[in-house]
Amino acid sequence: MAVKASEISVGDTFDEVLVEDLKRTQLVMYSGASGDYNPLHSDDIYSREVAGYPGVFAHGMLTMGMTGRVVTDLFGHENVKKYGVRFTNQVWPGDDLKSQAVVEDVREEGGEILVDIKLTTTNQNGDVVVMGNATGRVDP
Amino acid sequence: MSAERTLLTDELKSWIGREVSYPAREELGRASIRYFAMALADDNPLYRDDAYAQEAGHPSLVAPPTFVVETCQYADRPPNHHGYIGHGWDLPIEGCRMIRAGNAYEFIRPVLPSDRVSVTWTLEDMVERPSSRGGSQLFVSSVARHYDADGELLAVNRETLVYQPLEGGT
Repeated sequence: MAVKASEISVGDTFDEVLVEDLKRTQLVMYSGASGDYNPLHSDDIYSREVAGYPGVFAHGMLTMGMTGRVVTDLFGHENVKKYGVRFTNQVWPGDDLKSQAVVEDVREEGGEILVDIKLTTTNQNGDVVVMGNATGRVDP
Repeated sequence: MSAERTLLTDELKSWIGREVSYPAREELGRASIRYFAMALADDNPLYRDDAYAQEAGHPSLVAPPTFVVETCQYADRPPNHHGYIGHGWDLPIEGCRMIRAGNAYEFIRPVLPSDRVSVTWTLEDMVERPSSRGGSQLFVSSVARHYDADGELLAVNRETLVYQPLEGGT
């Protein structure tokens, strides 16, 4: 369950496997579930011939949502205050993704204990696909 | 080959500050939350099991945090010619491809299946910057504020999109 302030220190890391062999089906599921029907993510011919990409690729928000699991697992859903990412590389069908959170700061603000983490999601080649930051509330 | 072009035209500049709101037609609902969690391959019972979520102190099951800032269904727009239904500014930019640069979310409270969510998008700024590949690219930053039916803020989504000129000749 959610970590406590007494259990973590700056520099601690938390690793999670997000997906192995990402399937096109999952992109289609995400399109439907999010309502983001941009054909770049579901229509291979469109992606190649109209948009000029090698093929369909994952919604940035899918990678962001999967990376968000690290944040909710660490802090507990209701304690997540902020979560932001930059997209640094595209995610393709067949990719394996894992994410690492590093504790950057443990601080007090407004009577709450807040923990800042840095997030890095990488693919099977070690390329960083998402870099992010999150802040969560923790118990003492 | 690539003649220098100005992406940030006066016409585009006039778009800065525009605002659009989309009220949801209906409550979020348990099924859409479950499908979203399934699409993330996230089997957290908070997203599918009321009893479990209540045990954890929630009024009912809750949505994954990134769901509230994503549901294009709020937009309730007819699909465009690519089949896209979500919010878009439909900026008058020709010959560019659009790339998502980043998003930053702030969560005020977990979103419930009973929430009827509305969103207000504001086009905050547009900046033209040199691209590492030569030429320039246009950064468009927007902010979406998501509210519940009582007008209470649920979440904020700051989004940066980049428009890059396509290489000629495709």
